[in-house]
Amino acid sequence: MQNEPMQNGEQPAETVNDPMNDLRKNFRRLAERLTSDVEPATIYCIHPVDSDAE
Amino acid sequence: MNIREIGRLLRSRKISCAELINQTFGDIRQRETFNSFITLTEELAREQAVELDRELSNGHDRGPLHGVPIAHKDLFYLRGVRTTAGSLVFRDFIPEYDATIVARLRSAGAICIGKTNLHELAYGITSKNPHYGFVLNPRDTTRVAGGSSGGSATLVAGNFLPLCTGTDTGGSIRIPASFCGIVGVKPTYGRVSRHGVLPLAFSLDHVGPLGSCVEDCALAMNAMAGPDALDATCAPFPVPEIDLPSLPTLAGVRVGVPENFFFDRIHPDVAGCVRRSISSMEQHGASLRALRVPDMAEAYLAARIVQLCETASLYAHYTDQHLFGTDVWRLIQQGTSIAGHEYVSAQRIRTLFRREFDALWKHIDVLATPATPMPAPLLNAETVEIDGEQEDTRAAATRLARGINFIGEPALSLPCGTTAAGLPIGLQLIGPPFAEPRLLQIAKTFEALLA
Repeated sequence: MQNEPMQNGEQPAETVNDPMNDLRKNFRRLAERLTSDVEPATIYCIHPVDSDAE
Repeated sequence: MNIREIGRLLRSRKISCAELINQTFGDIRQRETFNSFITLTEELAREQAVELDRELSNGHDRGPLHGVPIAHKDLFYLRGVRTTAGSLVFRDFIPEYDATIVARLRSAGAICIGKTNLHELAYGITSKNPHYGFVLNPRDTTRVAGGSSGGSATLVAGNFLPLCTGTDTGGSIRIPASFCGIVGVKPTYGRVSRHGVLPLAFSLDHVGPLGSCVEDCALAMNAMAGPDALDATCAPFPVPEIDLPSLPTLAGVRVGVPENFFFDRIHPDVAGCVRRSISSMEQHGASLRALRVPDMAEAYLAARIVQLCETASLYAHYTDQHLFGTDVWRLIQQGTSIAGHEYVSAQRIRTLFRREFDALWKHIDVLATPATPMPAPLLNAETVEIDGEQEDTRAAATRLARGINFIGEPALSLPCGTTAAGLPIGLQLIGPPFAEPRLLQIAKTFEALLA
């Protein structure tokens, strides 16, 4: 069985009402406040290799 | 039935793998009205069941998942089977290899019976998929199942399957688990391979199980977790097997109860139920530690910047708007407006939060919070009212979950009660990095105490 894509697919009325201007403005304020003394960016090495959690 | 119960039936020869698969497909044909599937893999499943029956007859038992029917979210590559990501972009995409997790679960004896429906591209929390149908919540079909792993959650909640796979980039395992009243586990970032899983945001995506109980998820984790040379983001250290005799009590368990953020603007039934659950943990021996947590509203904001950018990097080159649902298209376009320096700043903020959470774990074993601030919203709800305030449905549903993807900590949603209207409520337990065995043991003990 394959559920085929709808021919006249109804678009969900999901909102994305977070205007980018506000998002970016708020983020810039946050970044200015927090990033003065942090370590370099964490991107793909979130896991602490010396974790003693186990 | 959960995995242990299925195992008992199979090993006592009360049912064969082939008969179980027959029954499962019959049940799906008869009762499955929630748009949970995009593709059924009936022929493959039947072939595998015959082989697994032969193995059991010959005394070869692959372990707890031997013969257990499961389904994969339709982001996971299954060789030779269309993998759509719930999108028109991938409507004809047929992978040439299996995702590592697909191969590992098959090797452990699990039988994949199909690919589950999801929010388009996994980029949303309702699973109102404009191309493959809206996934309906089995607890109340006028409500969303949650997402993006909506089809996986409905199949478990509807008692079709004990276990499905999912992904969680901003809550996409925990949110549908909470809305549908099942267990969903987002492991530590790097604990489970993502090789062969269509990405949404590389530094936020996590693969994990959705199950009928904590033990089902733990058994799945034993098969799924561990290093993978094919996934450079997968942690290189070995995984201890999760062994789950539940503890007699929660004595000695230090439970952190956030004083800030996690109980702000929560549906009163959800807040009451989760607080009662936490009190119950104390009555069963846990010691509660009220504490202030790092500012998760800030983590949420930075995580959004990361997600918008990383997802735009995958899809910004598509120019045909008609390939996408309205919400997903808008989010992709929004991602293209964020500058590179803003993305890097967000990742630098992440380092700060990682450090703060590392300090937190010196004082507690788990952090207990609601999984979502509200129960499953109605299908047509663009906003939800919580504590007298209107809030965008997506923002509300992800509010307590997204920050945990940002820091990478393991977290799960566990059913802890219902609202006055009978809708499920999820308790979120968050643990230190790579502490899944302890987190799941605490969750299982609490689950048993609740029962």
